[in-house]
Amino acid sequence: MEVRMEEQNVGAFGPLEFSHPSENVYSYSFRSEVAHCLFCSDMFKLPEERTYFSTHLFVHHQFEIADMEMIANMSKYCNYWRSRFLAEPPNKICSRMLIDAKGDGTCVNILVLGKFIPEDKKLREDLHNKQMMWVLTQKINEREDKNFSRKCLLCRLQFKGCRADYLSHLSRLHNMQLGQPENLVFIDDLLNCIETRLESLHCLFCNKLFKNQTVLKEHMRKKQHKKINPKDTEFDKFYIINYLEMGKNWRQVKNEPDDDDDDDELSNAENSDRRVSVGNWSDWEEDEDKVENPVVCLFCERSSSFDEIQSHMNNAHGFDFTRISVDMDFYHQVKLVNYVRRQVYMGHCPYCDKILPNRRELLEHMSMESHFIVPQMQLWDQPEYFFPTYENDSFLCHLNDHQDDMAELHLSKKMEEDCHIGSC
Amino acid sequence: MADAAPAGGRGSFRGGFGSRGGRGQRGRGRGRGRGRGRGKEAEKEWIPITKLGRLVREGKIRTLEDIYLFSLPIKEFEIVDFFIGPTLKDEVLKIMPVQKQTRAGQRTRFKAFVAIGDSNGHIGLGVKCSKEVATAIRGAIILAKLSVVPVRRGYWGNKIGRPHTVPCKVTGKCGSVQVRLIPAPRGTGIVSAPVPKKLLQMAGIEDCYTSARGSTGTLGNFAKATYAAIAKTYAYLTPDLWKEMPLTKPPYQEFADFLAKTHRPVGSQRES
Repeated sequence: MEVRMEEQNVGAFGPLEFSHPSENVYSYSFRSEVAHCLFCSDMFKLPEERTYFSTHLFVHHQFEIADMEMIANMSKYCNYWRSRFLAEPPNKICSRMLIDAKGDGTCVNILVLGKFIPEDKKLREDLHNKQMMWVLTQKINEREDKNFSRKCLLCRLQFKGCRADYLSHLSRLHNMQLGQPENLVFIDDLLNCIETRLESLHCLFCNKLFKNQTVLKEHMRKKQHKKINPKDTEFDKFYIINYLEMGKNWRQVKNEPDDDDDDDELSNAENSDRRVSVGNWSDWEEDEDKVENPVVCLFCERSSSFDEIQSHMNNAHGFDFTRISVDMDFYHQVKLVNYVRRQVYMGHCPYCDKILPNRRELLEHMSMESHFIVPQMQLWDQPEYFFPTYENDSFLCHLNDHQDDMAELHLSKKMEEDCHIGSC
Repeated sequence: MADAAPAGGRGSFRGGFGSRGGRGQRGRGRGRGRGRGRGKEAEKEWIPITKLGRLVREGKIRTLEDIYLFSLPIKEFEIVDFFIGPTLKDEVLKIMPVQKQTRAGQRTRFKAFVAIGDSNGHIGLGVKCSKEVATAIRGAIILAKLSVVPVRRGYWGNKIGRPHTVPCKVTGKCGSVQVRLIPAPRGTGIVSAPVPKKLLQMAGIEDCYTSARGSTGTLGNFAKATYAAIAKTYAYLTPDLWKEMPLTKPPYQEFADFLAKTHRPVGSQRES
């Protein structure tokens, strides 16, 4: 984690930024993924070579994977089982089946891997959930991205803006109904797909070949073929509903009853806003692997949760923030933090203002001289330190406002009583 | 003209949302074309079903603030749309899959969390669960509009320019999360975690410090606690509001004659 400098001149001091390591995006590609065979070193491109893969497994290894087309990510699935089988022989995990492949009475022993094996089921569900989360993140990014630019498929308009507007342009002006923009994902790929179809002079719906653009357009207009054929599975991956439940495609999901979607919201009685129920929000939790809004130490580069940083500063630097701030009001705490941050950034000791060439020497100086203490108030009690030195400095969001706490508690209790009386 | 919808034969498909069910999925793509009509934006006219809705539709109520003044519950989202619809911007905070155990096994649905605001004094939150993402988002936007509350802004020090920060320290609580909003001088910006920052920006608060306690990892409760804190800005009686103002008549009383005149009880229409 480094500190990046935005501006440095003596007068104006621009906001600085912490740069946290960026999260790695779970990579999933639509372009053919490559699956390693579980037992030998053959590789297969999926989804094109799926039948070859399953034949290969059956013939060469007497092995079968049930419902292969429903697995979200074949390459990860195969890698998992490949390493598993190196540790433990497959016949201990998989089920056995007798299959009469040739039809002449000779039975072959086949090992099968499927959902009836708990470990396999869990793996499939995990892969499915990861894929769904990835798709939904992609969906939200696409929805917010306002820098989309593309030439319209059917007219000469160069479009700039967001994807939902592009799709509604197609639907309003050209009568091409692809569906609600909110239900679509990977819209760029979808448009590329449609574009290749049209440019190769095939109809979008019935896939018949035509002589030229004009004939094609006329056909699509007359037959109302400016939409996607529900039976065309090539476009399944662009509709989010197909990622919903493992193994069920959109037809099955649609046929399920819609009734109990509202159960969650109505049954939840606890909500702080008495007038209106905004619904049940408690299931939205942060990802477990991400530390929420890490707090950075005031002196060194360590970042962690607020409580941990406080004890770190106490142990490693001898700076007990809790004790120091116990009788400071909120605004003074804010100013102190911003002052210390700025001094440390510029290489000055917060207490004596001595200039040191780098961070390491600064920390050495401070610990030797015992300068990990609160500097004189007039140094930092200045209005310029109201403004955060660093953008998104989570340290400032955890400051405790103790003085008013007791009064606030008493007041809020009183206000709740009054509200009760008022609303009945 | 080459692109326009052909007239004649298939005209029966046109005209609204009811016909689709009878014809089934044929010729409708994946059945997700609803709402787009035949190249027209099918705007249904609003027929209000609550008294307040009727008053709003007839223009008897001047601003949304008149409704807030009397704490009247808003049950139709079109009321909010009527006054501030064009300025409201919605933002989907999160779409996540949720699972429920039924007799037939696990059932997964999409849940959409939406925040709505005009960056000038109004904020709302909504959540909706559905099979399709579009339905969930649309439903959540409607619920968010129903939950719109006014936001009071004030000054930190000198009362020059427009109000830019919260008028006083306010706290909101939801679950174990407690969020406190503290006034900040002009130019500070919003000092908070990403989720409350978005809500405060949509509410129109320019400068604010925040202090959060509890399990802020539960982002849903974090957002709701921020919303509760923002809503409290108008609940807090600051000294500048101590002046006694003359009481005004609530709308139901003021327009009672109008309501009685135009009242058509449901069911009486069929008898004629």
